[in-house]
Amino acid sequence: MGIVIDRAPGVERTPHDEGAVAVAPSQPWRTIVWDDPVNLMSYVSYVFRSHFGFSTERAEELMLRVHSVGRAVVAEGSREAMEMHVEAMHEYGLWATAEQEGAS
Amino acid sequence: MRLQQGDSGVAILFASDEAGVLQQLVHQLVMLLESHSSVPRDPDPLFARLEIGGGEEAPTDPALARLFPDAFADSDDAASFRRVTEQGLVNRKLQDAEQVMADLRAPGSAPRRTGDDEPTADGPTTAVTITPDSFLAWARTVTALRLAMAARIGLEREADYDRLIDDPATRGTVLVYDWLAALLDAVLALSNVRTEE
Repeated sequence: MGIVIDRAPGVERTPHDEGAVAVAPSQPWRTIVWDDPVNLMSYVSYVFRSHFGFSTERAEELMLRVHSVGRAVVAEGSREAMEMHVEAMHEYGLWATAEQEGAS
Repeated sequence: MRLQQGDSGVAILFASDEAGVLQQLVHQLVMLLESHSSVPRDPDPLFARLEIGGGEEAPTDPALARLFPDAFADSDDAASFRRVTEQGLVNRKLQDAEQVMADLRAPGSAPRRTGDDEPTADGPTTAVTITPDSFLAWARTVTALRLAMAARIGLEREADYDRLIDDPATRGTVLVYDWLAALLDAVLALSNVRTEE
């Protein structure tokens, strides 16, 4: 996978706007991969194996879920970690977003 | 296009017209990406990969919008993410495309006759050996080409396909788009062979 730097040196990310206290900071984030008509199933499965280190079975299962349901959660964790995954997915050409649990 | 066992591994053997079409498409992809580049590229490839910068909003061009989608549903989150990540992503996609272009133009892949002195039925061919170092650049670039082509002809859902391949105005693009899918599958197969070895 590519090297990912998600902010300028010395710039601290503020994960939550000041005053926005409605959502607890501990609420985990997740990486969503969305279905598209372009990407080959074989390629999506390959990306899941190589980037996330999933087994062939797990990668196929998630790929099929993306294809049939329209989206699948492929990772959960901190916002920063999810941003790295989303950027990596975009580098592969997959359509991905980060969202906070409970957002949908 | 077919696969061939070569001296340095398995090669993809392109008919010369196929290699030419691919070069033109990759060249167009480079032009498209450069049109979306807001700062001169750092001559050091590593620094270029790590470039910080980017736009505020998703590109208006549909092909660029698909290559650089919003990372968040929330527009403020999406904008702040794009501001720091987009240019590095543009540069990395450019580097991938340039790797593919270099492979297609490499001396080892210059058009040559496959047989003896007699031209073969296939005509001149271009052999490109996909290595572990170049594999990802190929997979990503072919994917980027298909995403951009789909955006150009309005292939947004699977149901669009039949209409687009029947329409004389888009049929040619769809056929190349499908050929690129076969190319990507072939490249993926090469990587699977290596993994199992």
